[in-house]
Amino acid sequence: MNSLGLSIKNLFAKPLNTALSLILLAFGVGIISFMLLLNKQLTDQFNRNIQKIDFVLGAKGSPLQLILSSVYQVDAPTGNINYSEVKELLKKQKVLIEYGVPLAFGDNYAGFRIVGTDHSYIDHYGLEVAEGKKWEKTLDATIGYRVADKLGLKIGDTFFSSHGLAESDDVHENATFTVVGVFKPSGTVADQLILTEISSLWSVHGLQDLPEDEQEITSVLLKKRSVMANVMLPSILKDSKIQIAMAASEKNRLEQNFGVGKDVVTWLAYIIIFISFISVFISLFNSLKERKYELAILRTMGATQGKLFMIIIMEGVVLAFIGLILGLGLGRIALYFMNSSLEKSFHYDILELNLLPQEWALAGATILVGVLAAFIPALQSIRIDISKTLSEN
Amino acid sequence: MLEAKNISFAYDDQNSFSFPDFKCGAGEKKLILGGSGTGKTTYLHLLTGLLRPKEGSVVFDGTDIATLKSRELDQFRGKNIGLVFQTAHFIGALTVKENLRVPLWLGGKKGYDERITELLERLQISHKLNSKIKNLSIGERQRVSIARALVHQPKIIFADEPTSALDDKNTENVVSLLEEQAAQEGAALVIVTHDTRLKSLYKNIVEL
Repeated sequence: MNSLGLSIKNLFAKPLNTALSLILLAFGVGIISFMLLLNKQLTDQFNRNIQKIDFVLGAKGSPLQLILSSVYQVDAPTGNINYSEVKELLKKQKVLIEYGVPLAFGDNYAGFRIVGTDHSYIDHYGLEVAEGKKWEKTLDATIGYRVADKLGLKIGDTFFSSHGLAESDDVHENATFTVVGVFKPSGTVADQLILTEISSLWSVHGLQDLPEDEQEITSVLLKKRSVMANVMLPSILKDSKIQIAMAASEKNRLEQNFGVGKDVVTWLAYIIIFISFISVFISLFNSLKERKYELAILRTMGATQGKLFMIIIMEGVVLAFIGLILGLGLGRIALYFMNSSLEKSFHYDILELNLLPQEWALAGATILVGVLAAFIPALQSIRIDISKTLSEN
Repeated sequence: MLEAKNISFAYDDQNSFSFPDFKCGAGEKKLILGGSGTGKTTYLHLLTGLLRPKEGSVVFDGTDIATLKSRELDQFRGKNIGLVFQTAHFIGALTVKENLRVPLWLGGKKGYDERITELLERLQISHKLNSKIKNLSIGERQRVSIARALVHQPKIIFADEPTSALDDKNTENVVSLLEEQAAQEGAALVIVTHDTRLKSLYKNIVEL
């Protein structure tokens, strides 16, 4: 028998009151924890993929769509641009541009996107081959580890691509891809891509014999060499058919849009936590009225006022602690389901179970809620007049 | 062991009570008898340190308990005094065994589990060891409350109206139970009551 034990037994002697407080606490903590985790996962994932990319060149259209499709591979591309125009720009503007990664995409195999590029893509994301080799010729494919994992593809396997970015029946049976290698996990979008030569996509669509100045690609990821590029490149491209999207500003716009929804949900969670604070308070306050005689008897048996105070505070803390654990678990379960559904639509993998720094703050705040809710009832326990309580009987 | 001299108490300016002196040696049996409105409960609370007298002194083994700080007074009670209340009240969330552990815990005594079982066997309710208090009959509760008053080996036991709700036969049973148990523990026993049936059983009587 000790104060903590007595507090816990008192709580479980009132299972309904305790359950109500716990459910409220767990939901409040769970929602906040879920938002924190989701935000962290998405930000990390976004930052990892956009690292070192300053601009994306592509067909005219929504710059956000261009970034989403070319960097994150989650939207449809804006259209095609002339490859020789791009090559000329890269050659002429070496002072402004460090390098450019050409991308050609628009086909998939079993829902995984096929992206035609050159080996600069491998260097850009620091990809390493786990098995086999990098693609070398048209219709060679080196695949991300998740593609290999989910589809069970091995080196030497062959497949046909389908038109579009989601699974479809529109299969290009005129050209057969061969898997020549599998990349190691990189934590980037490349994990869920099938990478190949640009010419593979031309050959799938019967465009392999076009003259060089008519060849097209989808977009180019650009790394700048000088800050001047921010001003110069848009003005150079002003009269061309090519659009230049600024990675940083589109990323910010994306985070802001996501942020509005996040704020609403976070406020909702704070309100739930406040209600749970009231619930813990009322439940302790009411049980105190019923337990006044019990507490007076504890005093006759030698319990000091400090001890009674601690027992009541402990009840608040134990409630908060259990609610916290349940909430952190709940946040992760919600993230797990969110993750499964995201994975289906975007092939993104965003599961992480470590406690975030903000979650430590959340834990501290929750325990504080427990202490504060118990504080007034605990003060009242000190003020109980033993003699009067016992003679009221 | 316990000696109260010239004590008086006032809830407010109008209601002031003076109480007779009281003396109780180790292992003695005493009866405090008084009708309703005579301040029996107040007297009991003064003698056990639940109230502080307005005037006078309550000395226990050489210490005037009225001068103790609140915290010291709590600990004094926990160590030296066992109380049996008119209606037995317990910590509802705990079992019989756990309720008996409470005075031991508060008195800083450990490893008395055997003593708990032994006491309950003596009081013939050891089969209720792990029951919740709400599943006990009134008589069983009174026995547990006697066990609780004794478990931490206090020097003196006060019983407040232990027989008021009982018929003659049960009154005798409860009184002899209290006396037996107090005697076995070597503790003094003070019964506070308005029940004149007990008058014949006691030589040492303080009347209010």
